Amino acid sequence: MSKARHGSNTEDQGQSTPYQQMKLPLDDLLDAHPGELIPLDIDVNDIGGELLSILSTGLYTNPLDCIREYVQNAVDANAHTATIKITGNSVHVFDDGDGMALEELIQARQFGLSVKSLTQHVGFRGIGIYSSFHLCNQLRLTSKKAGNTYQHVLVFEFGAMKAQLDQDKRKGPHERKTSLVELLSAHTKICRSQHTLPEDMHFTHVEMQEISDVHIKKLGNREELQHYMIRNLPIDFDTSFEHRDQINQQLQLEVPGYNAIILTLQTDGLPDIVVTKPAIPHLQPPVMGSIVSGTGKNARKVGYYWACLNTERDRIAKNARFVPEVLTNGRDRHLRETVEQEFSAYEGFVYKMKGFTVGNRDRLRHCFSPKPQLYPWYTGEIYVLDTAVVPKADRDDFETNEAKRALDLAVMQVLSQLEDAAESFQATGLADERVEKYLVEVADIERQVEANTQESDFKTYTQLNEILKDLRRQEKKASPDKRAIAHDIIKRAERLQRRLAKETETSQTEAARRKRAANEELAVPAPSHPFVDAQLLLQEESPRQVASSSPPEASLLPLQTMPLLQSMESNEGASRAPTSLAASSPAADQKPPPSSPRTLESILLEAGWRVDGDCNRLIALLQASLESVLFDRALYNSMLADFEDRLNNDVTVTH
Amino acid sequence: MPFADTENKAAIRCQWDRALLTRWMRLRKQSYLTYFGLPGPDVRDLVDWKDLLDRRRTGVESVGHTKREQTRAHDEMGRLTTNLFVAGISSGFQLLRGDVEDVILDGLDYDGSRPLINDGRPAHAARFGYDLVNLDFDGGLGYKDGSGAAKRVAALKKLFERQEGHSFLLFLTINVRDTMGGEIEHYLRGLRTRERGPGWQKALDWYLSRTEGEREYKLKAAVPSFIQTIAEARVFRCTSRPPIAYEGHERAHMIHFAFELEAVALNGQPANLRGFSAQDDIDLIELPLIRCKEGQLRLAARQHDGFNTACCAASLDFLPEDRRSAMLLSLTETPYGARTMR
Repeated sequence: MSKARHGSNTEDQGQSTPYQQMKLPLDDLLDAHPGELIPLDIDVNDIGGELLSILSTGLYTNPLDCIREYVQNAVDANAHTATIKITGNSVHVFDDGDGMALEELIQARQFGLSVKSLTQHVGFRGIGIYSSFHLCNQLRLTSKKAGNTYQHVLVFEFGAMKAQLDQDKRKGPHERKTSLVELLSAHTKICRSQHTLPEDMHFTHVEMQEISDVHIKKLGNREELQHYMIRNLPIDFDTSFEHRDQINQQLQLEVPGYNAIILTLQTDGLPDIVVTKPAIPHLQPPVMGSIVSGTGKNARKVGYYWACLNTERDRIAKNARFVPEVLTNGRDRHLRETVEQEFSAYEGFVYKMKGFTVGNRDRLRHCFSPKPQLYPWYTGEIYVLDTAVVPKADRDDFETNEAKRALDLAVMQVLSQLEDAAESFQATGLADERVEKYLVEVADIERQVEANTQESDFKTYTQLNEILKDLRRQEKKASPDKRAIAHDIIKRAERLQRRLAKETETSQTEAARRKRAANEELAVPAPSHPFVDAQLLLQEESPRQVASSSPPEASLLPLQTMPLLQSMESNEGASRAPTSLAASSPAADQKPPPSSPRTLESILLEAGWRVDGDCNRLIALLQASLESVLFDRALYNSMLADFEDRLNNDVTVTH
Repeated sequence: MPFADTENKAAIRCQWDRALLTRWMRLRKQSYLTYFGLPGPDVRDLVDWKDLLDRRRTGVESVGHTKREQTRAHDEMGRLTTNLFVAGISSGFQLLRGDVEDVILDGLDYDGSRPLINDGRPAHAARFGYDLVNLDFDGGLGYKDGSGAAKRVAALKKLFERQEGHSFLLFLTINVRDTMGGEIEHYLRGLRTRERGPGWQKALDWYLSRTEGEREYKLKAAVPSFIQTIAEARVFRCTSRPPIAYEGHERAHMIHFAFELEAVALNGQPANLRGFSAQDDIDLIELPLIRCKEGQLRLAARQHDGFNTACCAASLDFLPEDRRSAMLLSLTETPYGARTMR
């Protein structure tokens, strides 16, 4: 502890205390004011050089942190692009930012002091420049400001500083050790050099020379470096990301100092990597808004967020399958997995402060507590605007204070709304899917009922009942388009139900109903099975009668069945072609009836059997059974031929 | 360490070397050339030839031996990389630290890094595959160490071993001063013993009789022959272009050589025995000396006794017509008659 130094510094600033003005030795001062707290000056020699080592090691445990610090300075200097080059045992960070004039360079070397604004700039602790103290032996900053014909070079000889500190460690306990001021003063140099570059050119080049093998190896891991940079720096989106401009423009308006940069990684012998946030396909347009803490007069904006929901109602990672490279290399499973892995890093939300990340995306997962599975359906960022919220030095979280708690609360409310939106989107999606499904199912039932091929009226009626019940529920949740479709399906299903009920009540025989159905099909062309023509010709009624007996529901028969019937008609010969027309044309009455296809009844009649009464009913039932079982016309014909043979050869039969 | 840029150096780079590079690329149908060399802190060669060079370039910067040299080396490295970024040519550039001779001899730099384009064999035996090697030294051809060995000469020999099987262009710039003692004269006397026609010995006597102030003539006669010899031993066909003498930084007397080295192949495979160059001893001696003064390239006013104009024209065939004609016209200034040794 130094003695009798009181007042030396503060006096100059006109802020000296009465005790300091006395300029008494500390001992005397303490004696003169027993029990009283007296301000105690700290001399430059009281701060040892080791502090530099302690701080740089403690704050920057990962060598990548140092690169981050220098790129952040580039961001603060309004750079649009930055390049990280790793060659040999040196690392370079070059940016096209504003550059630094002499006074700014001098400020940059200050220790623990920063002129940067808390709201506008990323770095503000004033020690970032020393972050590479443990990493390299020499740090060189070359900077040119627009309008200058010269550039400045600031050199920190960290190797020499470390050597001096090592020397200090070998000193005895009472030997004087190097102070921080002495250490920095002895090994920091500056020079100005003329340049022939255009005057309007501006840049800063940070060069870390003589980095140890271990560190250079770590820095040389491009994949790790890339991910780290994306996570920790305000990296721009890939230019192909469809919502890039919208998000960037809004963030530039709402987030002070927002500046997304394009970062290029250059490594010896490898192609350059342009680091960007990936273009995740199939995302909904971003939802953006302010995060407000408090209400009424106490309301204040503490953050701003953007969020994109996956249109696929799935995790963001699963959209890897829509990436053009993955689509073109469909069999490359490894590629798809790699992209999936990359996308998965963007699932959910993350806190950002002027572009860098605080914590990770798991930190906000709890905000989706009722439906945590919906969290990875989103990708988004939350920009913290409240300057009272301070990130911890290692940026894994914020320092605990009232402002942080208020932020967390406000964010939870916003995320809860987003969760609701996702849930509603999920419900809408599911409802739309159901509507699509029922549209197909009801059309199927319609066809069956028209053709009278449904398994059972009761079953069909019950099935329609279930469809209606669910559809009425889904109709409310469905999207407007699908809601209209659902409404239509409900009407059609109800109509079908009415028809089925009516048919059940009339209790016609199955065969009669089939015959009627077949006749109805004539009115609107739609064969349900190959016997449509056979059934038609079973009718004893005239075409006029056929037409008049067609129920109005026949018009519901889907039109797409028309070509099928037409093809069958053409196969059956021209004689059948006018059948449908006959219903509406009086001239059709004069046409000869079409030739009869063979049926059990006609064979029996030809064989001289009398077909009436119960026998007639039995034959009609058998005929109907054959038609429903033997869809294959050839099989049906051969069966009839066999029946006819047996009939003709059966001598025991008596007529 | 290379010299700082001068008007003369810029003229050689842009008018002479560039013409050679473009011709080489045209003949070999190459789009870009990979580079190995000493770009210097101002990276003038890389900037001037950036449209011709591949992104894969290796530059070597000295680390210095004394504390003063080390400080300077750090500064130059810093300037070099800043200039690369400013010129937008940092992508693909590899910076090695150390003496270029050591990098060539050991296959490694001061930090143990290998030149970018190598075949992956162990460092001592690794082959390089550069298209252009630009050795722009500030010193002379050789500085003997305590044991009498000249590392630079050894490195030149090793370079051909490293590049064996890969055609390349070699630009070699040296100070006419060196500490090789009488080695150059010894070499020329050795050449003189060869039977190469009536004017041969007389021409070599002319070179040998040059004073210390005209040492560039001796180098002009010895270096192309020396390079051709080591190139042929490594199965290259060597074409030497006329050497250029000029005043460099701080009026240092420099001489610039350019060699086209074509790896000889047999049925698509590298040949093994030796290369045979189209130029013989006489052609090499007959090469004119060019002088570059105030950024102008001209035939030197003084050429060797028995100077042959026909050979002179052929050795300038890579230059654009107008520049070649202008240079040949300056031949009339020569006080010596056009005689031939053949």
